[in-house]
Amino acid sequence: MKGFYKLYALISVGFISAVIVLAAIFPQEFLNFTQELVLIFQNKQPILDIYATPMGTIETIFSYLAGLYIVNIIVNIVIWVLAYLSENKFYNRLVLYALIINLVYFFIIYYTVKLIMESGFRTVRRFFIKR
Amino acid sequence: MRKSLIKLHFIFTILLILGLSIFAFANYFYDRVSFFANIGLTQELITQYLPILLRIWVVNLGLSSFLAILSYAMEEEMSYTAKTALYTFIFNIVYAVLLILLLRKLLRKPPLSILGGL
Repeated sequence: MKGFYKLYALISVGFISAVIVLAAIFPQEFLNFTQELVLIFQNKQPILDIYATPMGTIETIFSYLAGLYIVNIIVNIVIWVLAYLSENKFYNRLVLYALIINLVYFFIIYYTVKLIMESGFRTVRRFFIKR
Repeated sequence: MRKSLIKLHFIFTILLILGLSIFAFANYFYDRVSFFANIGLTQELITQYLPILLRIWVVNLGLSSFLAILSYAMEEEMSYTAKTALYTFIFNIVYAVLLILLLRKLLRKPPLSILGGL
């Protein structure tokens, strides 16, 4: 069981870390994907319409990673409940640690996207994209 | 070996955050402070390297969270190594929050003043 919890925690945090690194390597594509997502929210369309929106390859990858991330958080909560019920302090703390990291990233990304929505994408691109 | 790697990552994070802050400060106050021009830091150099440093920092942010959970999983307790990795992650997150707050303040200004700052 120890191996299971360790592997799960590493995969859970490794996944979001990989998404962050990918966003740093492809900032233009990440901003394009965010722009499409924001348009869907503003037009009050169903969130799953993002998968029907024509986008580039990297943007499509970001859209599937975003869906997987939401699933990851839900699974993380379930695994944490299991770890708590195991009455093992280490398992509980390890999975809780992973959950907290995931939630911290969730809120940072949420507020960043909200900020971009308020300010507009063109201004933000200047900070991240080298001309 | 593990301890040395985490310590190295910790030092690298501190230096990266310091460097990024200095570049961002120089970018914003370049016209008002002649110190940066006097030491050979031109506006072109700053605008060229600032996005690169920002991207390196974002990669470091992702890496620090993974190292934090990896250290704790391997040590199986909050040892010195696991704590150092956690502190590195916390520094990165606090810096991210500060950047978001700063960006919020900057982006709410009228466009002309932002262009002047950039």
